[in-house]
Amino acid sequence: MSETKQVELTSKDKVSFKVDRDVILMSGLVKDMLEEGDEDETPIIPIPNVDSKPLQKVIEYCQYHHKEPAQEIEKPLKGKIEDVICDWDKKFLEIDQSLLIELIMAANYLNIKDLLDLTCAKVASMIKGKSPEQIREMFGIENDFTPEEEAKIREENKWCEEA
Amino acid sequence: MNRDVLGEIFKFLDFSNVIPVALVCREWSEVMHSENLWKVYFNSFCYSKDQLLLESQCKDIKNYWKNQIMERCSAFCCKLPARRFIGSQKLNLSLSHSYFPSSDSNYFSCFFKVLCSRIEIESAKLISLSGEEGLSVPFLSESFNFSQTLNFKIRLKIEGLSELLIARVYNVPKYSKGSISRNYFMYFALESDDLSNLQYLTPPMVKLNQVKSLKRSFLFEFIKKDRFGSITGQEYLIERILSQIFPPHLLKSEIEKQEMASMWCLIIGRILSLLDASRLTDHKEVWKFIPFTKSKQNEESLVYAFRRGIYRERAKIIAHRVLPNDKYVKFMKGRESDSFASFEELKMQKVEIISMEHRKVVMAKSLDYSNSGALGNVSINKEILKQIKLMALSDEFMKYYLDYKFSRIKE
Repeated sequence: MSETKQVELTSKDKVSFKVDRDVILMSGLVKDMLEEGDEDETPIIPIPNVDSKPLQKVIEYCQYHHKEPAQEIEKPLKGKIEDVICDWDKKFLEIDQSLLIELIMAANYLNIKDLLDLTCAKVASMIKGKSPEQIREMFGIENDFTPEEEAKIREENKWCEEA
Repeated sequence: MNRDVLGEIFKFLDFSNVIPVALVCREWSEVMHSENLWKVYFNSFCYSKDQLLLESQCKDIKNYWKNQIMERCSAFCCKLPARRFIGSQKLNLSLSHSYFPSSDSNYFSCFFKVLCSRIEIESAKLISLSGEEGLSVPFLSESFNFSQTLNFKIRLKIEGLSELLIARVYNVPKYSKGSISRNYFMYFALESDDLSNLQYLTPPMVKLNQVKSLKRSFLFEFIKKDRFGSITGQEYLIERILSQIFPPHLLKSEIEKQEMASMWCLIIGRILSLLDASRLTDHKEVWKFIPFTKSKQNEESLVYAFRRGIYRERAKIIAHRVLPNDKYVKFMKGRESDSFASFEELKMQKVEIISMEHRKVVMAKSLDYSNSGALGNVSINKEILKQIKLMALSDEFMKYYLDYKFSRIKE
């Protein structure tokens, strides 16, 4: 038996990644699967919901953070996200928006709480202070409200602005 | 992005984002209004014990957590003024650091923040030697001569007060035995009272003793020699001004109300330094005229002086309540000769008195134990415990609430 056990992950687009078992145990999903399955030498775990590009990033994140646990990000986010995370995370987040969204979905699917928090806080930071129009544009969302519905939402939540 | 993920993202937002986010599209709006999300908001916003308390009642009431937050917000009923400007000059009254050391920091910084959040500066003017209201602040450095005078009149609009509050900062000459020295004082009065006091407040002949005897004003005098301040008219400040601004449940005892006097002075000091720093090439110029400010820590030394004066008063009150008569007399003798010899001693005094006695006095007062005379032995029975819990809840809540508000102002 080798000293560091490995796990093989296969992405949606059929790319394989060999990762140390200890590293990928950060993923709640993988952890559960490993506990269920037999103790193969190198278990192969298919990750059918995640493409190779985000999966690569996920592994990168786990490789760094399984030894250096991330500090919890305070809710609500105060100021910009860059002010509350470590330099490594800052660099890690220098990715385009579509990959960021894929990464969120991957972190959610693989159940990696710290990564989910980090990426979600990043998106929250992008949303903060933006108008509905700007947010829609940012994420390519269609406005499906009638003017009456919009007025109702404004009225019901008016106190939020005053609070 | 699916709903789970959206919910995770929204957890990092605060109330100011609710409307824009809810208006994006139906899906986002539904996620924004989910109970779970508001429970998270409630948790980050309120004291955790509060939540435990409420969890059991929650059941399946629609908008339960949201309503809980709304209820608490309206209890504090302080809307933020949209602006605090003089002309185009924006003033940030919030402080970058706390002047109030650990044990009482939350409490005082909360009050300080509440005060600041409710103040709007109507005008700030220089009072000339002939008593006319002169230049408006901010000043242009070439437009007047600092060596002549430094008397300010600042008009403040404060939420809750039906009229304007006038703050005056005076630096008036004092003639004695052929030599000239200066008196420095800060004065506060409601505008109508200020009008009737005006004849005593017109330079060059401002006599401090006369001003001191004015019934309808609050006065803080800097005493350079002794390095502490003297205070008159606290009753006026409390009865006529503070009680109008703060909801009664925030004014928990007279002791805290007195403490707040120092904050007024600090705020005015803060305004002056800001006005000054904003336009003058050498902004230290103004501070030359206010004592204790030769060091770089202008504001700290001001606060030091304010607190000194206030603690003297405060120590008297508490000592009167907690000490047996003979010891009280002895204590007072000590005070009269100003035994606040050093800052260290003041701090000691503070820690001793505030952290222990003060809490007891607050509790005892609220429970009407004030006549028992044995404050040192107030036993922690259930009723008192309940009171303590209530206080903890509101202090803690207020801290979150105000931090939240102020983080929004900065943005």
